[in-house]
Amino acid sequence: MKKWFEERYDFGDLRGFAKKKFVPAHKHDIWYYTGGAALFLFIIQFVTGMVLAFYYVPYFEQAHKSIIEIVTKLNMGWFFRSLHHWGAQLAIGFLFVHLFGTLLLKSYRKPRELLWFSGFVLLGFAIFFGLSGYFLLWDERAFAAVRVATGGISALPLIGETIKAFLRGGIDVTGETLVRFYAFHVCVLPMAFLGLVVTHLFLVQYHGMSVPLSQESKTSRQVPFFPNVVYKDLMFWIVLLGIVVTLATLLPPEIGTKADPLAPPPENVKPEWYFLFLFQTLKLFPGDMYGLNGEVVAVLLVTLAILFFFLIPFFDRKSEQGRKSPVFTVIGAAYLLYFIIMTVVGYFS
Amino acid sequence: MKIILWATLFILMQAADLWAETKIEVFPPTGYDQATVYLNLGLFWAGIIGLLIILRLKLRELERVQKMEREEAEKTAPLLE
Repeated sequence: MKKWFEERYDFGDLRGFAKKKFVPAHKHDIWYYTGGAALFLFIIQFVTGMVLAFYYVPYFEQAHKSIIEIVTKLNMGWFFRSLHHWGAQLAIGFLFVHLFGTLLLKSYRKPRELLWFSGFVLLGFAIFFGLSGYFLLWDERAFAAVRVATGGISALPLIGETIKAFLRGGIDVTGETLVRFYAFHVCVLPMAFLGLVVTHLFLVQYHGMSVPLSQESKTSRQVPFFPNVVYKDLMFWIVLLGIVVTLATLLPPEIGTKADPLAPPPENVKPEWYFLFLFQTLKLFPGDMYGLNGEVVAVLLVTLAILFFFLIPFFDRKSEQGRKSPVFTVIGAAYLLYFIIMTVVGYFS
Repeated sequence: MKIILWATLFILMQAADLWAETKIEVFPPTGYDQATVYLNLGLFWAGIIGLLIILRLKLRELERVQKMEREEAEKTAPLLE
């Protein structure tokens, strides 16, 4: 088999590339593995998602019932659904860890600005993956959460209403929204995500791994990517697989009550954990602020904060010149603290 | 009469469950299936730990060989005068 391929294709270049590729070794190199971990978890999501897509019915009268059938009638259906659920939680969690690691180590600095932007958009896609997947459950909590999330977007001036109508497929959240979110979840987002992951990986290969400023002068040690780093990646992935499987087995997600578009939303409805910081921020603002709509002010401020976060490589001029920039370390730490505190407060409130 | 009252009460108590929200089982409900799942989870972790040990040993051996090669290269490197 190997000979058959070698007679037809020249693997010499590939082998040469693998042998020549080196990765810097220093005390912060553990952060290099967080991106690979997120990638591995998304591979799990693709596989389990494909299995679930065989049996899920994206029609509002059948959706909830089809999930019950997947869980109760299908052989190992409960396990695949649970794997998909926990894989999603961990994948988004690792993306956040990867993002904040990149931010605090200033890996976004010149010439890696595009890597930062592509990674940031990937996180946005992943969050939309989460929201659209959550809605496919068609239970009352998911229904209320999507109503709140899509309603919040409408507070954006000029474009808010258009985006809301586009996402909902109408004025309110209905069966049309379910079809749209299904199309986003299984078709639009996977295609866009895959394209961007390839770009992100290509940029990683092109620029090589970023070395933190504090380590640049200290070390010049490099380790071969193959096999050293690949083995370490594999070890990390195996442990992650074990964690996902254990969580999926011991804590399978419950199935809520079927959504009723005409019923009032359930009490104390909360979004998924990665939206809690936004949810909690919106709650801080009063309905009326000096004659302005509080919700509009809140959404505008949050949008500006996210935009600043997104464009941080352009603001951090010192890092761009290869100098230390403690101000941006403090800003990064403040973002991280705010995210953690608001998520915890939102979870327990 | 007493028996009829008790029987009616019993039926009403049983019927009260009908108003309760039905909880859908998201995990195999029978003890045998649960035991199989937990056993497989244990075996799965045993496999993971085994694989980790093999990879760790392999990596350590690789690093040892690479270190030897580095030291050898340093020894034979021509000195600048």
